[in-house]
Amino acid sequence: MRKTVILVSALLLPVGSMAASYTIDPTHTYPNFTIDHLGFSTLHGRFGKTTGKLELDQAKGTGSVEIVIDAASIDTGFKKRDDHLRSPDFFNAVEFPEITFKSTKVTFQGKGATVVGDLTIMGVTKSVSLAVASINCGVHPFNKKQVCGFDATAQLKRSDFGMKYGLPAVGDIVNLAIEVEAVKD
Amino acid sequence: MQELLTNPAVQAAVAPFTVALVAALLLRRFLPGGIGLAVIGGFFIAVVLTTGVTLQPLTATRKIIVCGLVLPFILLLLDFITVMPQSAGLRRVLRTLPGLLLAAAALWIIWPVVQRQEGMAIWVMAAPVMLYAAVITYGAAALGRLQKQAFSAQAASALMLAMGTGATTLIAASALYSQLAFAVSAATGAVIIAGLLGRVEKPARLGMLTVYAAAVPVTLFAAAATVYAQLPVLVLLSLALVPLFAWSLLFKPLKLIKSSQRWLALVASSLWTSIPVLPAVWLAWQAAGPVSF
Repeated sequence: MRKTVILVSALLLPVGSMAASYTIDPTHTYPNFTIDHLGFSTLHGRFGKTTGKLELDQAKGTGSVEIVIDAASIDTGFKKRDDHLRSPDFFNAVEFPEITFKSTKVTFQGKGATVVGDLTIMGVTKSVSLAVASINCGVHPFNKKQVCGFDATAQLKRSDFGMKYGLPAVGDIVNLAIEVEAVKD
Repeated sequence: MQELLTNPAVQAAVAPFTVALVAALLLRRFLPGGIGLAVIGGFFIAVVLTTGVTLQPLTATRKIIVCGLVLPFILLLLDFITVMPQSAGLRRVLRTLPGLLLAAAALWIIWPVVQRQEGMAIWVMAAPVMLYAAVITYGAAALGRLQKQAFSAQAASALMLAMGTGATTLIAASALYSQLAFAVSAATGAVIIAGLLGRVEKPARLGMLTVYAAAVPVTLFAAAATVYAQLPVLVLLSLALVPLFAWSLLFKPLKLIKSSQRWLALVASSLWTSIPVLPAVWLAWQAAGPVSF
């Protein structure tokens, strides 16, 4: 989902007057999340494997994005907990190996944007809105490729996707923060 | 109230036990042959409190729930057809159907993953799951058909299978699977208690519906946990011995356990039948490593 936001943001970037295609850089694109843990603290985690594409037509102010996150790549820094998060109690990663986001509407606001799209987790699809602050595009200083990057945030309820285990002790609200970089094709 | 209903102990034990006990006491008086409905009722209330009642999307967990609520009736119908007058050959064929049906159900449940496999990997994944479902169902059905003379063996087998599934899935697989398996255990325990509350001279009976209602969901939860979570396949092998140990209670010298009081016989039978559960728990523990959340 975060990658999707990133892709959408990239679409919003004023890169040129024609539609441009970008491919997500998986080594600089990570959906991070935080969630309340039993009321004691805030657990931080992220997904390590994300792929995706985005299309951006700067002249028309349109764009689209499709993101695929490997659900099994969840990482909270403790294997046993990660195994539990992959189990049917949470992401059910064996049965539903992919989390996907497909944009339905992108609205540019200055340097930022709002990306609305369909987020699918465990076979349940809900509309989610991603807030993209600043979209930054330019030439990569080392490989000289055209790159766009941005940070996106969103908030969702895991119970909306049927992920009800541990409620209400383990929080329902999930805060997303997605770092995205995409390379022009 | 909401806090109470979200407590895992209430969801997995208190609620299903209470519902099943009330239902079993009523059914024992008005519909003795349907006392197994109490197990299904206990399982259903646990489902309501944990996952809620919805079929969309039809996940593996929901498939198991559907099977747990529906298949016991189909198996009972198959059993009824089997005991009708017919040739011995046809009867033998009919007696394989419950096991085949559960094996097919198990394959349906793991199908989303199986279809992604290729070659031998398909059978490596599917064969143990289907075999386990068939063996447990065959064993439960065989014990169930013994009716009143095997009450302790039937009860011990149903209880230990459910408790073993609950314990192993809690350690190495899914807390949700565990909760629902323990709920079946609690509901089955309630039906057993209701059966034992009758007059001593009147033999206690579990009935085929109870046997199937207890066996179907926990069998499928354990089988699915080897695919969708990290329950070792060897756990299935160990749990598959539970009905066999229950069977052994019917033979000398273990048959002596039955000669004592009904409650004592049940406790002794349960202890004996729990023997194969112990290595299953150990295997799950080894696979899980240190537990911390």
